[in-house]
Amino acid sequence: MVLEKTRRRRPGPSGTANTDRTQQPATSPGEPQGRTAVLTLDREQSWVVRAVRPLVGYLLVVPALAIFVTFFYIPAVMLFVLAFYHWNVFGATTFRGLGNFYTLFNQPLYWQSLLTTGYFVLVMVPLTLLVALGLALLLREGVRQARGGFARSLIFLPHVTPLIATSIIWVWIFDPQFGLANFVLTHLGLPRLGWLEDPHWAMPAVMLYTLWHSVGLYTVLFLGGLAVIPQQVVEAARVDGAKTLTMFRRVIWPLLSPTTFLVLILTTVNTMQAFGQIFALTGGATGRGGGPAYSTSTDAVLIYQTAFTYYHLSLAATMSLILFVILLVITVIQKRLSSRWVFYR
Amino acid sequence: MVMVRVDALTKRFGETSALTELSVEVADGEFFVMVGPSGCGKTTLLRILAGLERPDSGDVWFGDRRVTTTDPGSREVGMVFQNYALYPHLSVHENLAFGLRVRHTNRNAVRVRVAEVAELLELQDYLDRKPKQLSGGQRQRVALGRAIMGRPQLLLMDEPLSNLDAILRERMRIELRRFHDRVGITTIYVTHDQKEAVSMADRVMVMNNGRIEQIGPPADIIRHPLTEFAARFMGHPPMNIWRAAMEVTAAGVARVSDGSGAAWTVPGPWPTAPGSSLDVWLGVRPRDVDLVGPGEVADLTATVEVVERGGGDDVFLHCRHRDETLVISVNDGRALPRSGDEVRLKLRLDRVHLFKADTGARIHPSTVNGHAAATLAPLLVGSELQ
Amino acid sequence: MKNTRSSIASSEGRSGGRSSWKHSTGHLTLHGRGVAQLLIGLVFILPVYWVLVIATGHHGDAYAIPPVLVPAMQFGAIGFVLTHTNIVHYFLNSVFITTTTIVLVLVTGVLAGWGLAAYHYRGREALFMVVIGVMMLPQQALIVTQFNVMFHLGLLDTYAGLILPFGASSAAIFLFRQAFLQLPESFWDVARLEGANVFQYLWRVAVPTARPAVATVTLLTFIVSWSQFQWPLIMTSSKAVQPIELALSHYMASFSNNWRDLTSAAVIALVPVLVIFAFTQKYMVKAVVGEDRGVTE
Repeated sequence: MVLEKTRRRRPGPSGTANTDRTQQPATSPGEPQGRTAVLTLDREQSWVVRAVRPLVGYLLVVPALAIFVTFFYIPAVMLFVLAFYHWNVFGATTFRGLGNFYTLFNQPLYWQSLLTTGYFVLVMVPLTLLVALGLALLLREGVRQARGGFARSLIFLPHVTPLIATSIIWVWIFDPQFGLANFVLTHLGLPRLGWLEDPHWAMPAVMLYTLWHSVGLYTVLFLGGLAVIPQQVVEAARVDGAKTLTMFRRVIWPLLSPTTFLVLILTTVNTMQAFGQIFALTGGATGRGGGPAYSTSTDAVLIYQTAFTYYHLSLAATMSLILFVILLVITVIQKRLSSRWVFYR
Repeated sequence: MVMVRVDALTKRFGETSALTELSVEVADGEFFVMVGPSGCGKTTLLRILAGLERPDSGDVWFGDRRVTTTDPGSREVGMVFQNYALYPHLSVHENLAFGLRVRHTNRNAVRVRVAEVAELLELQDYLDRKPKQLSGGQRQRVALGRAIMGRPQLLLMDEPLSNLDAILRERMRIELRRFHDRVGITTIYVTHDQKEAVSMADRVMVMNNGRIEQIGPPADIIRHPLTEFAARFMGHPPMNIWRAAMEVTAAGVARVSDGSGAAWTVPGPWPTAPGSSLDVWLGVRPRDVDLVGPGEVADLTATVEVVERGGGDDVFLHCRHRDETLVISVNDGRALPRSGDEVRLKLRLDRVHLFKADTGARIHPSTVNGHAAATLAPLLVGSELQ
Repeated sequence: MKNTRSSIASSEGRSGGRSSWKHSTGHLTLHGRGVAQLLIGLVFILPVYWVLVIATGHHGDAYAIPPVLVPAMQFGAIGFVLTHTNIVHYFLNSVFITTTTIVLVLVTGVLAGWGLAAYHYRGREALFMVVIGVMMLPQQALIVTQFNVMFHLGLLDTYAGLILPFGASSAAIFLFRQAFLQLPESFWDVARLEGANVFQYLWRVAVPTARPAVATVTLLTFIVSWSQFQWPLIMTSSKAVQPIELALSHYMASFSNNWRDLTSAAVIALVPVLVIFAFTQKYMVKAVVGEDRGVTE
């Protein structure tokens, strides 16, 4: 953790545990006997204080810790148990061993959802990367000035809008008859598409929305990465007569690699976990999600459907466990690699 | 106000001991300065007095009240920190009022007291400013004001001037001392700058490695340093000190030689038997070395390296004598040697100091006047010379 | 983060840039770039703008070809949605849930941040890792077993069930811990000498000097909490406690193709976000980006 400044501190606050022991018996201060007695008491007391202070520190963390443990760590641990049981919330459990996995792997729908997720991730990651980088390069020059900052804010805004509220207008944009998307397509002389109602085009529509909603975040990350590159390096390369493209490849791209890597991981993890926009765009009307012919049922969406539409919690837990392991592995790889890569900040 | 007594105080941080069996008394209303190099334990002692640290053993008394384990908030002490520690989000007024507020003092009383302190320190015009909007000197005064808001019995200052520039520092020294004399509060002041100690203190305590080297009025310490360390630390420019050997002759005088051929006969009395010899530090202040002309008898010859003008009439000659650099103070206005010149030097024998090479304890002059003699005695206990 | 921050800081309110490109020799290309930047920005804002156009447009504007570009500023549909649906109730639910969550996150964040910064005790570093580790748990993989836990705690269909699980945030604890670690030790010494106890110090000194962290945490929690959808979708079934995002998805089912009413409802949900964004855009960008970097480093 690079951003953490480690400071050596003296012993921290004493808490309120100190009791005043000033009351001095009437003996004169010079009498060695009385003093030794008090001294021993002091030692005991300060020992108690020393034992209590850390406890205060620990107790302060307890409220947050209780929440994390109850709502996050316990469910995470439960996953590793319940994935091997047949169960429901009322507690009827029978151990099935790998039975859930067997059932799951015989479900064509599960394999289809993995393919859909793969499709989603494999398109979204490079697409987001390219668009975000392009936007960052475009915004870079002006960002020090008001108009650049303004444009950046506009690009960033969608990222903080609630998914359902903005999905509504995108459902209209993708309306096959009156929507903006087909209006643009016909003006370009291209055929109209069914978009969200068409099994082939529902996913691309979701991708477009996701790109719109999230690319601002990654653009700002890239802008941060670009700002780290010392202006002298770029200028030195210019003086050497490097062409724009060469300079990008030789100078900017390598120096940007930590940011690129970060964006790569974040888009992967976020795409694999996308839910709200898929639900709203391709199934908000039915309250089920998943799109025509399960064409947008990614792994995350299928987990929701299995658990909460079909109430098959055991299978859903098994799917969750697999997703959990995959995402954790990605995060850990990223952690280990980024500690070597990081030279930003 | 209060008299402060510290009794056999010991404090360790892990393996290192910050204070070892330290005892000292500070008189009521005294301006007492603790001076020493960084890490000598002076700040630890100050923090123990404030109650911010607990000693491992030993006691602290304020008058006849034993406060060793009393909370800092109940000790009636005020403290000024090196970085002032003014709260950046509070105005001067709120910074001053902070202590009274947390003690739930009534608002009117707080306002009256803030006005009093602000007037005393001439802060009236800055009460609404944030610390960021103040100069270093003004921040210093606010920190002092906050320290005295609760009418403490004891004022503690931890290097309060070290963040100021040189000119302001000189002025604040005078101002702080004047403030003390007006308010009359017992003040204990920590610094690593001996100049500050000399110019402000009633008494100075020189510390090294968690122990007391010497306590006394600054002039006494400069005139009669009890240890080699105190001799080097106090006084400006520092005392010239170099190694020599000493032998007590049958006649009861000591013969001191530094191996360069120079030798001095120092009159006794010496408490040791004739014939005994000892490695010593030979010390002499710059102003106690004379330049002598060609016809006179000299102790040493040395080569002038730098001629430093002190601004007034003082001129300091930095001379090389074998491996040592000796500094000599001479008066301007006569023909001065130039750098590269050979000079002949003579030490004023009545002003020469001798310290034991191994312990640094003073050997000569063995009899000193007044109260310095009292503190001298225990240092010689157990030394070979007795 | 520093760099993002500095670039953000330098972008604020420097309209002086205008004069510099007037005098610049390559002013045509620079000008072109400026126009391109603005155009791109407008493309991104367009969908949000269209929500307004259709919500305040005439009946049937949603079906106009070519599309209507200028809002008619008729607030009839918004008025209708406000008076003829329960949206005000859902809106207030969201306000309540969001506010309570923010307060809880601040309180638990300050306490835990202080507990992890100011005290020395065995296992402190491990405890910190447990706190930070929550950020690495993939949310989508936990939802099934979280439902199980919520069921057994009796938290389904309650406000508490929507608030409590989000009442502590690793990012908040992390930020507060950082802020507290940067306080000079003498601040605490002064407080002790003045007779303040730990909680007085926290309240009067530590938290006020950590104001940037408070602002960041408040903004982050607002965004996350106001946008809550999946959690209430799964954990609630009664309209009494549901937040506005969930209401919108109900409306998508029941008002399908009634674009004017639907977008009117969306406007009501968007207004708080847009207003707060308008006033705090640079802090919000910084907060969100800072958090995402923090997660991975």
